[in-house]
Amino acid sequence: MLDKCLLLVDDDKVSLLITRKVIQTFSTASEYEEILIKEQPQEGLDLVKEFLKSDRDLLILLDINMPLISGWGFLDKLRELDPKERFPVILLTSSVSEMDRERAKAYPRVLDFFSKPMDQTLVQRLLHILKELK
Amino acid sequence: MKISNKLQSIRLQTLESIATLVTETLDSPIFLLYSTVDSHREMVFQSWLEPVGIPSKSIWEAQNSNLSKNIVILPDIRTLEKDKPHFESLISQGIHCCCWMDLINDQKESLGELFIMDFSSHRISQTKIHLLESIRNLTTQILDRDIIDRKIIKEKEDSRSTNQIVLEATQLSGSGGLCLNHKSKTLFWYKSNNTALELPANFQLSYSDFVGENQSFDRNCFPQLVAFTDQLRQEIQNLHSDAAEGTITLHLKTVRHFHYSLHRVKDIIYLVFKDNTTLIEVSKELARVQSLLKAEESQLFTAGWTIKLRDGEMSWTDNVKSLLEINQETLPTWAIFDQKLNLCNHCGPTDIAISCQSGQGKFEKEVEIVLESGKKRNILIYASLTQNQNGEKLLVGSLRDTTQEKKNEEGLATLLSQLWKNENYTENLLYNDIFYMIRVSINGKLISTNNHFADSFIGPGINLPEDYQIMSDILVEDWESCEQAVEKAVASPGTNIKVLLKKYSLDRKIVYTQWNFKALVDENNQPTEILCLGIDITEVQNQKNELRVLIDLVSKQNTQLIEYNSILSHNIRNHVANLKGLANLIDLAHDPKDIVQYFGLIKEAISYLDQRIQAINYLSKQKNKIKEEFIPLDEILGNARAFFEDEIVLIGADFYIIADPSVLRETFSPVLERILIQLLSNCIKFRSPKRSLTIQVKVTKRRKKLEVVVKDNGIGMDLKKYKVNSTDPLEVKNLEPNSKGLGIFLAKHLTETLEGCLMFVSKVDCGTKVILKFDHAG
Repeated sequence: MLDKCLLLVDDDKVSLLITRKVIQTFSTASEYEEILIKEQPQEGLDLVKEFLKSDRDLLILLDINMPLISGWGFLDKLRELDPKERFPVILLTSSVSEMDRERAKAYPRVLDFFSKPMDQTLVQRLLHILKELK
Repeated sequence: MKISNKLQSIRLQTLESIATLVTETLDSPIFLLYSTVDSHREMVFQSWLEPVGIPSKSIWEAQNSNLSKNIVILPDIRTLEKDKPHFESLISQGIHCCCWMDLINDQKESLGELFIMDFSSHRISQTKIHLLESIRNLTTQILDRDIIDRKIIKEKEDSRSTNQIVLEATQLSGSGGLCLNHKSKTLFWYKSNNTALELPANFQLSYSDFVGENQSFDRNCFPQLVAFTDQLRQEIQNLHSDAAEGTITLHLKTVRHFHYSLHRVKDIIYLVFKDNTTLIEVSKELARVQSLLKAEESQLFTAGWTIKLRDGEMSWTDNVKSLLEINQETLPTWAIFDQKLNLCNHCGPTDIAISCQSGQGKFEKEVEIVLESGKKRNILIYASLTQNQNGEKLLVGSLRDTTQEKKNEEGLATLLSQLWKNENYTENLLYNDIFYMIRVSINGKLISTNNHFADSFIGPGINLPEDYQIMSDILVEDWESCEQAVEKAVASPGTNIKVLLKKYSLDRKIVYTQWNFKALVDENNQPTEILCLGIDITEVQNQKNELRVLIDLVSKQNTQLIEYNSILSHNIRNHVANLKGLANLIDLAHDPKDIVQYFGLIKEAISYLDQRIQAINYLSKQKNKIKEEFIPLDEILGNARAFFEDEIVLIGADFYIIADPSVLRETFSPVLERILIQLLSNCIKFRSPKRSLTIQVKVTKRRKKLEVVVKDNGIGMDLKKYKVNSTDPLEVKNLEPNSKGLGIFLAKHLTETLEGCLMFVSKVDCGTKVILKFDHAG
C-alpha cells in the first residue's frame, strides 16, 4: 500500500503556508506520499470523492473556522461520503475552546486536536500518528 | 373608647358561658357586668342564684391583700356610691361582698367593669385568684371581640344589602343564620346552616317552616330540624320585643349546643346562631378541675400543727407525717419539722410569731422540698398567732400540698389556650379569607364549600347551584392532574395528596391554587367523600414565573456571551497563531527571500489583528449604550456607514440608504448600530470579484413595527446546498457559530436581544438580503 497523502483544508492562506513549511522541515519524504492543499472545504470534499474511487489514502488536517462549510460541516459530509471511515482527520485550528475539543469527541475519525500554529512538536505527533496508521 | 348603651344587646351567650365558669369554679357567686357611660354605671348583664349565707365583713377585709392589682375585693359594696341603692337591694337579699375587675382591651381602653358577687365563700385562696384572673381575661377578650364585631357590622350597615349584613353577622357570630320577611313571606336561608346542621348542601327551608302550619321538610328524614324549627317557631311567635335569645340542643352526629339570638327590624326578623358546644365542654372541664382543687383543699384542715412559744411544745396531725414522710413513732419537734421543710435560719417559731404580729396577722411561705422517697413536693406553710385558754401564745398552722394544684394551674392555662386556639382554628378554617375548603362526594358532586371558596368562585351570597360542576372553573389543562389527585386520594384514604390547579376567578382571571386532597372513610373504611383544602398561591406563582423568565434571560444572555466570546476568540486567535507560526518559520528560514516574504505576511497579520482589536474595542463601547436613551435612526445608520468609510472608498463600493426622512428622525436602540456593522462587515467580506459592491439599506416603519433590510450583490450562498435552513429558508437556525459568516450570527443574537427577528435570503453569485424586524420600534 502507498503512503498516505496529507490533505490540508483551511481557508487561511498564511496558515496553510506555515503548516506546509513546518511539516516539510521536520519530516522526510518517506513518511507520507505528498501534501495536498485545499482552501475551499467543498474542494476538499471533491478530492475525497476522487480518493475514495482509488486505493490511495488520506490523512486530513482540517481547520474548523471556515466560511460556508465549517470544519464540523465538513466532518458531517465526510461521514456521508466515507461511512467506513477510511480517511482519518486531525483538527488543526486556532480554537482554544474546550467546547470544540468536547465536540470533536463525537467524531470517531478525529484522531487528534492540534492547536495552531503547526510546530515541531505537532509534526512529531503527526508523524507518530502516520506511523500508527500504517 | 367608652362603652355605649349598645352593650345592652351584647351577645349574651358568651357572657353566659363565663357566668357558668364563674358559678362552677367559685362556688356560687353572682356575676354582673357593668358598662360605664359618662361616669354613670349601668348593669348590662347578670347571672342570678339564690343566696344562702352571708360572710362576715372581717373575713373579706382579711382577704384583700391576696388579690392581684387587677382584681379588687370590696369590703363593702355599698361604697360604690352610684349604685348604692342597687347594691343595698342585693345585700338585703343576702348577697354581700364582691370582686371588682376592670375589663380593659389591648389598647388600654375600658370595656366595662365586672363584679363577681360571692355570698358563700369564706375565703378566697390563691388558686381562686388565678381563676379570677383567667375569668377576667376571658371576659375581656369576649367583650372586646363583641364590640369589634358590632363595630364592623355597624360600619357595613350603611353600604350593604340586608342579606349581606345577615351574611356578615352569621359569619361573625359563628355557625349560621336566616332572615324572615313577614311582609313578602320569604325566607333567606344562609348556606352555612347546612354545614352546621348536617344537612345536604343544597337544602333550603321555607318561610312556612317557621311561620304558619305547613312545614316543607320531611320530619322523619331530618329529625334535627324538628327540634330546631319547633323551638324557633315558638320564639318567633312569642317575640314581643325587638330581641330574644336562647340555647337549643340538637342531636346531630354528636350532641351540639347552639346559642341563638333573634332581632326584629319592622317586618324582618334576623336570626343568628352559633355552636357553643366547645365552650360548654371547656366549662365542664373547668368544673372537673375545680372538684380536684376542692379535694386538695380538704386536706388543708387536717394537715395541721401547733407550737407553744413559751416552751416549744409541738403537736401535729397524722396528715403532717404522711405529707412529710415522717415515721409514725417520731415525736413532733420543731427540729424535725424544720429539717423536713428545709426552713431558713430566720424561720424559727419566734420569727414566725413576729412576722404574724407585724404583718397581716398571718404567716405564709411556700417551699419546694424533696422527700426521702425522692418525690418533689410544693408545700404551702401557713401560720397565725393565737392564744390558748391559759393565755399562752401559740402558733397554729397548717401544711398544704400545692404540687397538684400547680400542675392544675398549668393545665388550666393550657386548657384555656387550647380553647382559643381550637376556636380560632375552626373559625379560621370555615370563616377565613385564606383557606378554601370543599367537600366532594366520591362521584364528583360538590357537597359543601366554605365561605371563602363560595365567595371566590361561586359568588358572594349566591347559593350553591344544584348543577354546579366542580371542574367548570378549573382550567382544562389541569383536569387530568385533578383527576389523578382524586384517584390517588381514593386509593390511599387519609393521605394528603397535593395538586396545583389553575382556576378561573369570578372575573375570569387565572388563580393558581395549591390543594390537599384527602379521602374520608366510613366505619367500613370505605371512602365516602374527599375533603379538599386549598390556598391561593397566585402571587407566589407569579413571582416564580417572573423568576423563571429572569433565569431564562440570564441563561440566554450567558449562552450568547459564551458564543460571542468564542467568536471573538477565533477572530483574534487565528491571527496570533499565524504570527507565532510565521515567527517560527523565520527561525527556520535560510533563504533571505523567504524571510522577506514572512515579514510581509507578519505585517499583514498584524494589520488584521489591529483591525479586529479596534472592532472589539468599538463593540465594547457600544455595549454600554444598551442602557442609554434611544438615538435617531439616521444617526445609527450614519455611524454604521462611518465605521466602514475607508473600506467603502477603497473598494469603490456604492452605499445607499432608502428611507422616509420622517422615519429616520425616529429613535431606536443603539444596538441596531452594532447589528448593522456586523451585516455591513459581511457585505464587504463576501463581495464578488466579478462586480463592484453595492450595498442598499432600506428602513420602513409600519404600525410601530420597524423593518430594516440590508441587501448586497456579493457572492451569495446556496442555502439548499449547505442546508443552512431546510424548513424555513427565511429564518436563520443552523448557522455555525464558528463559521466565517460570523457577522450574521452575531447580528442574529443582537437582534433577539431587542426582541426582534432576523431573516435572510441568498443566492449564489447574486447576493444576500438580510431582513430585520422589530415589534417594538422606538
